[in-house]
Amino acid sequence: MITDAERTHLDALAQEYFLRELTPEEGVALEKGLSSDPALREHFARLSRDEWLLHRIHRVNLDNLVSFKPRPRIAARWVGVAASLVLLLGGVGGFLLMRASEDSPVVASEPAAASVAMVTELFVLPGDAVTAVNGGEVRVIEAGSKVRSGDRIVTPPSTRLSLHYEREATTLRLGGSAIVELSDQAGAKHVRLWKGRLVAQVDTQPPSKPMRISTDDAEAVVLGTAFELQTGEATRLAVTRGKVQFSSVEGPDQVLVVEGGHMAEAFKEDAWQVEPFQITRLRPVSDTTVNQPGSPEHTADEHFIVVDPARELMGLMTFNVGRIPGEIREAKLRLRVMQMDTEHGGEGDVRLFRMPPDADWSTGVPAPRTEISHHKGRVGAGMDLEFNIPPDEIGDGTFPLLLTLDQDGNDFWFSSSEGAIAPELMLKIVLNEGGHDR
Amino acid sequence: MIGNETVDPANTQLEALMRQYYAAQDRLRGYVFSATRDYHATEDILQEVAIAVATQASSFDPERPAQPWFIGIARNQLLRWFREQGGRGLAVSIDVLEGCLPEYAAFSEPALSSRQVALKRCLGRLPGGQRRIIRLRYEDGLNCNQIASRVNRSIQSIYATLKRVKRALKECIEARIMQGEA
Repeated sequence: MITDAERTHLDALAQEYFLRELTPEEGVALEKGLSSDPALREHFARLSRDEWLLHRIHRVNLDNLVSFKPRPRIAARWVGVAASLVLLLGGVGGFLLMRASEDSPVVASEPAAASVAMVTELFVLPGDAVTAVNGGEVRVIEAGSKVRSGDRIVTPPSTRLSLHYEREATTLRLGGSAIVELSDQAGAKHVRLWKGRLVAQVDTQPPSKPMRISTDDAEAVVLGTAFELQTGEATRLAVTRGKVQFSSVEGPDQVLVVEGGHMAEAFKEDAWQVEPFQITRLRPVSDTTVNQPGSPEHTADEHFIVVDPARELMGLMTFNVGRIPGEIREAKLRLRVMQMDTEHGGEGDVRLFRMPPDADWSTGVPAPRTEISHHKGRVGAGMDLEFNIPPDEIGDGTFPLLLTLDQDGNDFWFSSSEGAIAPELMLKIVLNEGGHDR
Repeated sequence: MIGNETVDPANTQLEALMRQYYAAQDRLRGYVFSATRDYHATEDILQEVAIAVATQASSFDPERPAQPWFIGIARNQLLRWFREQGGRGLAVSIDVLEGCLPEYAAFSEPALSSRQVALKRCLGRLPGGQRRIIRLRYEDGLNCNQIASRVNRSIQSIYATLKRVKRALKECIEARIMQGEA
């Protein structure tokens, strides 16, 4: 028999359970109470429901709820779902369509949030899928799909995804391995970036309803601007146009206004750093396919850079970095995959080497060469292969890069400067002059 | 062909199972959320359970009751999720949480809808400071430590505020439902 005092204590413990981590002793006490007391179980389940409702209501704007009418038959839809499952599970084992596809009949009469944006560009590797989870429902996102308030979008690696907000010129671009949640809160846009990189161009927002983009450790508030936000060890904000208010969750208690041409990082403990920066995008001054002397003849097509271990074909790109006006904070090489073979499942180990600027190529690929980046995994036509390059590998002047593919990989064909999408070396440079610390 | 549609028994079984799954989903949501206390993890786990039900439907014996099968799948997904959390373990054993399954009927419609509407109205009546803390907690997903840092208050005061606000919200919701205002 539980006394009134014990009941009060257990009721309080049940409340605490949804607020913080219980101590082991508290956990044992709550467990015993739940095992023996039906009234406590009922109280516990109701607390759980109310906690869940608080989460849910902050992710779905009830003002924008619309209801779908029930459909009388669902058999055909489930056949489609089952087929999708087989295809997708065979490919990646995780992403799939379950209940309500945007344009599919909806089984249940549960409300769905109003749409806030549309997918205008999407690239995923075959077998992968971008999914949106909302209120327990999961949808596959395709080009043209609507994005609803409360949708949490998950992108597999190598994804390119662009979203366009309805009735205004606000766009968001997401890369691969990102998790982002979009919601409309009484007309104010909120984007929660859980993981990954987001590039935004934000149309003018009502002053009373600025757009908010938050991460684990920072929040950006914008009225109309262009910027990039990236999660990682710290949230990094790079503003290319306009102004963004930036605040740290656990860092200094202040709000920064970061202007165009400046970047800021929200460190959890360190001081703020706001620095002027510039983004430089370079095309190669030359790029070509090279092969070792004695390897099978290669007839070069100037539109492609080909890597093929069987024929010892490698890609060579030379960039002219010129004089770097500060410290390179981030460097990426982007290559567009145009064609590929699939005898090895579309996978391969692509390696990027820095070559000596004054190397002698007359007798073949010179040594030494320094590996500076590596992509291991799937590749598909239309995909942008991105290599992160350690900034300290890049110096002033000529910067030759060699691209190779390990044995047992497919031969990949990348667009050259003469092709559809030229290789691009992106340098994010913190400028020497005009920088300041906060 | 219209008017001459053939019925595939496998599809019929899938349809029947999925109907049962969605009938059970509200209680499963209560079970999973009680274990994880994480809204997104709950959605993800329910998604995985639905995937498993749909993909394994053809091998399920229709003579068996489906609910224990759903619960078993959810349990496996929960254990997998906790393994992925590293050091974080279950504060209350999974068997005890499963024992609460009948009570998770509290997660079922239509009672949930009226409660949700009442909650929205009650949230709108909160004083600004309390509303801000609730938003930081549930909209921005911050834990109590992070909220305390954000609003420059002690963590104990954040705990106390959240408990007080939740109690007030519960009373407000129930008063509205009693008065038929929700």
